[in-house]
Amino acid sequence: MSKFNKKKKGTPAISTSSLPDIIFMLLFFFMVTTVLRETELKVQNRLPKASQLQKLEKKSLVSYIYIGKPKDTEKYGVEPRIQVNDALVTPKEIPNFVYAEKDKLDEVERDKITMSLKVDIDAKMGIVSDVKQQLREADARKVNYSSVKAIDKE
Amino acid sequence: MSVNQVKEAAKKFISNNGRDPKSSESPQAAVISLKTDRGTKYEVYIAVMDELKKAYNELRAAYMGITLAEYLEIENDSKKQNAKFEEAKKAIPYQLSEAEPTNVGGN
Repeated sequence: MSKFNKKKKGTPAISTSSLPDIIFMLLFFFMVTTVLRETELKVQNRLPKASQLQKLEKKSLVSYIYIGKPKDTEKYGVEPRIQVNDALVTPKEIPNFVYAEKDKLDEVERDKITMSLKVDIDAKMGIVSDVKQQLREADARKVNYSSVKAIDKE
Repeated sequence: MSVNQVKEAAKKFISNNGRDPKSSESPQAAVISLKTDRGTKYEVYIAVMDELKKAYNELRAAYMGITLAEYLEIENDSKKQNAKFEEAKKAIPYQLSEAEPTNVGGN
Protein backbone atom coordinates (compact mmCIF):
# COMPACT_ATOMS: atom_id res chain seq x y z
CA MET A 1 0.00 0.00 0.00
CA SER A 2 2.97 2.18 -0.22
CA LYS A 3 1.48 3.69 -3.29
CA PHE A 4 -1.16 5.48 -1.29
CA ASN A 5 1.06 6.48 1.52
CA LYS A 6 1.00 10.11 1.83
CA LYS A 7 4.39 11.64 1.77
CA LYS A 8 5.13 13.78 4.65
CA LYS A 9 5.66 17.25 3.53
CA GLY A 10 5.16 20.73 4.91
CA THR A 11 3.18 23.37 3.14
CA PRO A 12 5.14 24.39 0.07
CA ALA A 13 6.47 27.96 0.06
CA ILE A 14 4.27 30.34 -1.88
CA SER A 15 5.85 31.18 -5.14
CA THR A 16 6.78 34.83 -5.19
CA SER A 17 7.88 34.90 -8.78
CA SER A 18 4.67 36.65 -9.88
CA LEU A 19 4.85 39.26 -7.17
CA PRO A 20 6.54 41.88 -9.41
CA ASP A 21 3.82 41.30 -12.01
CA ILE A 22 1.14 42.01 -9.48
CA ILE A 23 2.89 45.09 -8.19
CA PHE A 24 3.39 46.47 -11.68
CA MET A 25 -0.15 45.73 -12.61
CA LEU A 26 -1.34 47.72 -9.60
CA LEU A 27 1.09 50.52 -10.37
CA PHE A 28 -0.08 50.83 -13.98
CA PHE A 29 -3.68 50.58 -12.95
CA PHE A 30 -3.36 53.55 -10.64
CA MET A 31 -1.27 55.48 -13.15
CA VAL A 32 -3.94 55.07 -15.77
CA THR A 33 -6.93 55.83 -13.60
CA THR A 34 -5.50 58.84 -11.77
CA VAL A 35 -6.58 62.22 -13.07
CA LEU A 36 -4.55 65.31 -12.42
CA ARG A 37 -6.31 67.43 -9.89
CA GLU A 38 -9.10 69.43 -11.41
CA THR A 39 -10.37 72.54 -9.75
CA GLU A 40 -12.78 71.66 -7.05
CA LEU A 41 -15.92 73.73 -7.31
CA LYS A 42 -16.83 75.71 -4.26
CA VAL A 43 -19.81 77.36 -5.87
CA GLN A 44 -22.96 76.01 -7.42
CA ASN A 45 -22.59 75.81 -11.14
CA ARG A 46 -25.61 75.03 -13.22
CA LEU A 47 -24.90 76.41 -16.66
CA PRO A 48 -27.61 78.03 -18.75
CA LYS A 49 -28.88 76.34 -21.88
CA ALA A 50 -28.39 77.87 -25.29
CA SER A 51 -28.61 76.66 -28.85
CA GLN A 52 -26.31 78.90 -30.91
CA LEU A 53 -23.01 77.79 -29.47
CA GLN A 54 -19.50 78.27 -30.67
CA LYS A 55 -16.68 75.98 -29.72
CA LEU A 56 -13.67 77.30 -27.90
CA GLU A 57 -10.70 76.93 -30.15
CA LYS A 58 -7.53 76.58 -28.13
CA LYS A 59 -8.11 75.18 -24.69
CA SER A 60 -4.66 76.28 -23.49
CA LEU A 61 -5.65 79.90 -23.98
CA VAL A 62 -8.78 79.59 -21.88
CA SER A 63 -9.02 80.44 -18.20
CA TYR A 64 -12.15 79.80 -16.23
CA ILE A 65 -13.99 81.99 -13.76
CA TYR A 66 -16.84 80.47 -11.82
CA ILE A 67 -19.69 82.47 -10.35
CA GLY A 68 -22.50 81.12 -8.22
CA LYS A 69 -23.94 80.59 -4.79
CA PRO A 70 -21.32 79.02 -2.47
CA LYS A 71 -21.90 75.39 -1.65
CA ASP A 72 -20.76 75.93 1.93
CA THR A 73 -23.41 78.48 2.82
CA GLU A 74 -22.57 78.43 6.52
CA LYS A 75 -19.07 79.67 5.86
CA TYR A 76 -19.49 81.93 2.85
CA GLY A 77 -23.10 83.04 2.94
CA VAL A 78 -25.74 82.70 0.25
CA GLU A 79 -24.78 85.60 -2.02
CA PRO A 80 -23.15 84.52 -5.32
CA ARG A 81 -19.36 84.55 -5.17
CA ILE A 82 -16.55 84.41 -7.69
CA GLN A 83 -14.17 81.49 -7.80
CA VAL A 84 -10.87 81.36 -9.66
CA ASN A 85 -8.63 78.33 -9.42
CA ASP A 86 -9.36 77.08 -5.91
CA ALA A 87 -10.19 80.27 -4.11
CA LEU A 88 -13.17 82.55 -3.70
CA VAL A 89 -12.19 86.07 -4.61
CA THR A 90 -13.64 89.56 -4.73
CA PRO A 91 -13.98 91.34 -8.08
CA LYS A 92 -10.97 93.50 -7.18
CA GLU A 93 -8.69 90.45 -7.26
CA ILE A 94 -9.66 89.48 -10.81
CA PRO A 95 -6.98 91.58 -12.57
CA ASN A 96 -4.26 89.84 -10.55
CA PHE A 97 -5.65 86.49 -11.61
CA VAL A 98 -5.67 87.58 -15.24
CA TYR A 99 -2.06 88.74 -15.05
CA ALA A 100 -1.04 85.44 -13.44
CA GLU A 101 -2.83 83.52 -16.19
CA LYS A 102 -1.23 85.66 -18.87
CA ASP A 103 2.21 85.01 -17.40
CA LYS A 104 1.70 81.31 -18.00
CA LEU A 105 1.35 81.87 -21.73
CA ASP A 106 3.91 82.68 -24.39
CA GLU A 107 4.36 86.34 -25.05
CA VAL A 108 2.87 86.14 -28.53
CA GLU A 109 -0.28 84.49 -27.26
CA ARG A 110 -0.98 86.77 -24.32
CA ASP A 111 -3.46 88.97 -26.14
CA LYS A 112 -5.43 85.96 -27.23
CA ILE A 113 -6.27 84.85 -23.70
CA THR A 114 -9.95 83.97 -23.38
CA MET A 115 -11.76 84.18 -20.11
CA SER A 116 -14.57 81.71 -19.91
CA LEU A 117 -17.30 82.66 -17.48
CA LYS A 118 -19.09 79.73 -15.96
CA VAL A 119 -22.00 81.39 -14.27
CA ASP A 120 -24.81 79.73 -12.39
CA ILE A 121 -28.28 80.35 -13.82
CA ASP A 122 -29.46 81.90 -10.58
CA ALA A 123 -26.70 84.51 -10.43
CA LYS A 124 -27.59 88.11 -11.11
CA MET A 125 -26.07 90.35 -13.77
CA GLY A 126 -24.66 92.68 -11.10
CA ILE A 127 -21.83 90.38 -10.16
CA VAL A 128 -21.28 89.34 -13.77
CA SER A 129 -20.90 92.94 -14.91
CA ASP A 130 -18.53 93.62 -12.01
CA VAL A 131 -16.35 90.80 -13.27
CA LYS A 132 -16.59 92.06 -16.84
CA GLN A 133 -15.56 95.51 -15.69
CA GLN A 134 -12.48 94.10 -13.95
CA LEU A 135 -11.61 92.00 -16.98
CA ARG A 136 -11.70 95.10 -19.10
CA GLU A 137 -9.35 96.78 -16.67
CA ALA A 138 -6.97 93.84 -16.91
CA ASP A 139 -7.16 94.05 -20.69
CA ALA A 140 -8.66 90.61 -21.17
CA ARG A 141 -10.94 91.42 -24.06
CA LYS A 142 -12.05 87.99 -25.06
CA VAL A 143 -14.84 86.80 -22.85
CA ASN A 144 -16.92 83.74 -23.34
CA TYR A 145 -20.09 82.66 -21.57
CA SER A 146 -20.11 78.97 -20.99
CA SER A 147 -23.39 77.20 -21.55
CA VAL A 148 -24.68 73.81 -22.43
CA LYS A 149 -26.30 72.72 -25.63
CA ALA A 150 -30.08 72.91 -25.63
CA ILE A 151 -32.20 70.86 -27.92
CA ASP A 152 -33.79 73.20 -30.40
CA LYS A 153 -37.56 73.23 -30.29
CA GLU A 154 -38.00 74.27 -33.91
CA MET B 1 -42.03 91.27 -25.14
CA SER B 2 -41.22 87.72 -24.15
CA VAL B 3 -37.86 86.13 -24.81
CA ASN B 4 -38.99 84.12 -27.80
CA GLN B 5 -40.23 87.25 -29.55
CA VAL B 6 -36.77 88.81 -29.42
CA LYS B 7 -35.49 86.89 -32.40
CA GLU B 8 -38.19 88.03 -34.83
CA ALA B 9 -37.93 91.65 -33.66
CA ALA B 10 -34.16 91.58 -34.09
CA LYS B 11 -34.41 90.03 -37.54
CA LYS B 12 -36.95 92.62 -38.58
CA PHE B 13 -34.72 95.39 -37.27
CA ILE B 14 -31.50 94.15 -38.90
CA SER B 15 -32.99 93.41 -42.30
CA ASN B 16 -35.06 96.59 -42.47
CA ASN B 17 -32.83 98.21 -45.11
CA GLY B 18 -34.35 101.63 -44.65
CA ARG B 19 -37.96 100.65 -45.30
CA ASP B 20 -39.11 101.88 -41.92
CA PRO B 21 -37.45 105.21 -41.14
CA LYS B 22 -37.52 104.45 -37.43
CA SER B 23 -35.60 101.19 -37.89
CA SER B 24 -32.11 100.36 -39.20
CA GLU B 25 -30.73 101.63 -42.51
CA SER B 26 -28.80 98.54 -43.48
CA PRO B 27 -27.55 95.35 -41.82
CA GLN B 28 -24.04 96.83 -41.76
CA ALA B 29 -25.25 99.86 -39.84
CA ALA B 30 -27.56 98.01 -37.51
CA VAL B 31 -26.36 97.95 -33.93
CA ILE B 32 -28.34 96.32 -31.17
CA SER B 33 -27.81 97.70 -27.71
CA LEU B 34 -28.35 95.30 -24.86
CA LYS B 35 -28.99 96.91 -21.52
CA THR B 36 -29.24 94.89 -18.36
CA ASP B 37 -30.00 95.65 -14.78
CA ARG B 38 -27.84 94.50 -11.89
CA GLY B 39 -30.79 92.43 -10.76
CA THR B 40 -31.30 90.72 -14.10
CA LYS B 41 -31.08 86.96 -13.86
CA TYR B 42 -28.11 85.55 -15.72
CA GLU B 43 -30.30 82.87 -17.24
CA VAL B 44 -32.49 85.51 -18.89
CA TYR B 45 -29.46 87.40 -20.14
CA ILE B 46 -28.07 84.29 -21.84
CA ALA B 47 -31.49 83.43 -23.27
CA VAL B 48 -31.71 86.89 -24.86
CA MET B 49 -28.13 86.69 -26.13
CA ASP B 50 -28.91 83.30 -27.62
CA GLU B 51 -31.98 84.67 -29.38
CA LEU B 52 -29.99 87.58 -30.80
CA LYS B 53 -27.25 85.26 -31.99
CA LYS B 54 -29.88 83.08 -33.54
CA ALA B 55 -31.39 86.06 -35.35
CA TYR B 56 -28.01 86.90 -36.84
CA ASN B 57 -27.22 83.28 -37.65
CA GLU B 58 -30.53 82.78 -39.42
CA LEU B 59 -30.07 85.91 -41.46
CA ARG B 60 -26.54 84.86 -42.41
CA ALA B 61 -27.71 81.36 -43.23
CA ALA B 62 -30.44 82.82 -45.44
CA TYR B 63 -27.84 85.06 -47.07
CA MET B 64 -25.68 82.05 -47.85
CA GLY B 65 -28.69 80.01 -48.91
CA ILE B 66 -28.17 77.22 -46.40
CA THR B 67 -29.95 75.98 -43.31
CA LEU B 68 -29.17 77.12 -39.79
CA ALA B 69 -27.65 73.74 -38.88
CA GLU B 70 -25.32 73.90 -41.87
CA TYR B 71 -24.37 77.42 -40.95
CA LEU B 72 -23.44 76.43 -37.39
CA GLU B 73 -21.31 73.63 -38.75
CA ILE B 74 -19.37 76.05 -40.93
CA GLU B 75 -19.00 78.53 -38.09
CA ASN B 76 -17.55 75.93 -35.76
CA ASP B 77 -15.16 74.58 -38.36
CA SER B 78 -12.36 77.09 -38.01
CA LYS B 79 -9.84 75.14 -40.06
CA LYS B 80 -11.63 75.44 -43.34
CA GLN B 81 -11.63 78.85 -44.95
CA ASN B 82 -15.01 79.56 -46.40
CA ALA B 83 -15.27 82.56 -48.71
CA LYS B 84 -19.05 82.57 -48.62
CA PHE B 85 -19.03 82.60 -44.84
CA GLU B 86 -16.62 85.54 -44.74
CA GLU B 87 -18.85 87.37 -47.18
CA ALA B 88 -21.93 86.74 -45.05
CA LYS B 89 -20.06 87.92 -41.99
CA LYS B 90 -19.25 91.17 -43.77
CA ALA B 91 -22.76 91.64 -45.13
CA ILE B 92 -24.41 90.99 -41.77
CA PRO B 93 -21.89 91.83 -39.05
CA TYR B 94 -22.67 90.82 -35.49
CA GLN B 95 -22.85 94.18 -33.81
CA LEU B 96 -23.97 94.09 -30.23
CA SER B 97 -23.32 96.88 -27.81
CA GLU B 98 -23.67 96.26 -24.13
CA ALA B 99 -24.61 99.25 -22.07
CA GLU B 100 -23.55 99.74 -18.47
CA PRO B 101 -26.09 98.03 -16.24
CA THR B 102 -28.59 100.07 -14.30
CA ASN B 103 -29.16 99.49 -10.63
CA VAL B 104 -32.86 99.15 -10.09
CA GLY B 105 -33.19 95.55 -9.01
CA GLY B 106 -30.23 95.68 -6.63
CA ASN B 107 -27.66 92.95 -6.32
